[in-house]
Amino acid sequence: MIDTRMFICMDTTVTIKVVSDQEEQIDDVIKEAVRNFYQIERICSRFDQDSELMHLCQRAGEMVSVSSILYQAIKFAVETAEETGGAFDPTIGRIMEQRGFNSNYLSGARMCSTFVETSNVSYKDISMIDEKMGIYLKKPMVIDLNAVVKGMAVDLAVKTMRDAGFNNFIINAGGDIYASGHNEQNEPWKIGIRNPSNRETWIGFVQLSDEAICTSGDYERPSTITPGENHLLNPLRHKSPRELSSCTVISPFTMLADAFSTAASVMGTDKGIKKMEEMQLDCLMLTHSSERYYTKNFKENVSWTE
Amino acid sequence: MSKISPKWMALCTAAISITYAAGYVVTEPKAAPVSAAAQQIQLHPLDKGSKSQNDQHSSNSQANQGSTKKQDNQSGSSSQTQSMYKDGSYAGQGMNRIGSVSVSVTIQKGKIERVQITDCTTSYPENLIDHLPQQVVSRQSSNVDNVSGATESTDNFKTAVMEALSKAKA
Repeated sequence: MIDTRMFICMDTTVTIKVVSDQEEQIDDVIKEAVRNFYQIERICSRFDQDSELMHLCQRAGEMVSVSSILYQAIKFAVETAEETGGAFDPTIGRIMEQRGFNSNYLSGARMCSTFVETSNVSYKDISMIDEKMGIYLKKPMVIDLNAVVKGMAVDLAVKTMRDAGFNNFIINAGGDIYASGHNEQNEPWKIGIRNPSNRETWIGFVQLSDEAICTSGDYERPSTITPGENHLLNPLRHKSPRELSSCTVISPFTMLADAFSTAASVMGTDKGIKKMEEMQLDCLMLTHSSERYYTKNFKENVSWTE
Repeated sequence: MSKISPKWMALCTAAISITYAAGYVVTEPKAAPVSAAAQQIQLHPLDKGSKSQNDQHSSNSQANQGSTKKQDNQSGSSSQTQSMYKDGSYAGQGMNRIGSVSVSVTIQKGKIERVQITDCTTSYPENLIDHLPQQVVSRQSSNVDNVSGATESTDNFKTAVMEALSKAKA
């Protein structure tokens, strides 16, 4: 049988579906998996001035020892920024606030990080000191980990579920999905990719087993401040990328698919596909004129069906 | 299965295992989606970003106005913060443009521990198709297990969460 639970976390819906006949244990393990989500959110939220992340952001100019969760999330974000030459950049938090993405979804409280004096900041202003699990920020800034932590929480929940003996399940954090094992029919999970222009339909589906799929798109979260802009941001130009309506990445890890679907959206069809091929990630891009771009391996690797 | 580079394999594996280990030694109270301080409505000077504040938000802050005016300097004191909420589970319901939803908010030690969606007859997320009427199922993802898309917001659940939280007010 299949058991489905839904939660609200990280300003999106989290769904866990488990195929299992050990019904008594499911509750406990799902609770534990969900606890991972809330724990990461509490530490890494830029929508809470009392989160560990926001405390760090205000302590520029000194080495700050942080928790391992925060350290790993920031390290991953900085590595992604380096890999993509700044097409992905976690230091965009203050600009995001100013573009209207500043409201805590549970309390409604709005963030206004006036301690950040300049928007002239980049991932190069973050130094990671591995031996001490310390972080040195050269300037005050608001670090945005939203493109990393959902994936990270999914990966963590995957580990929690597997350690408890569950192998066939799917975890979906608002469209960022890890598909483990097989579905109720003993087949790989069938995952549709949402059609940006008709959201109740999908443009095709992939069949996945023990892999993650994340889609980045400009159609769910428009800016309330600037017409035509949305929650995706090109950190180098301070504007939303224009070319793609959606960008899907498949990888063995959700955090990798999450961060690089965001990065590739900014990079666009040309550079983005090249980068994804170089990194051997499977990627599908959909432009606003409904053209599709694939990495070479996308169709073969993931049994793509349109 | 993609063969990602050893470097990224190592980065991901390390992040997950270190974070996983950390999950079991954390001493702070369990699972509150946001710290107690953030759960208090904060009346900030308006940021540029606040001008187009929508009705929902302004009514939320009105509802909470009398309660608090927390400011930046109370860092680290979140566990001492006087709680707004009584422990327990509270149900909330809401309608939105695509259907009705119910949530159950669990408060533990005065903090929001989790927000579970208990019923959802909206036309998406599609993953609850089991509970949907037949005509809805037929026009959407009846034959996929799940759908990957840009991150959906929780706007559809806001009214339901607010209703539950208002019952939890101490």
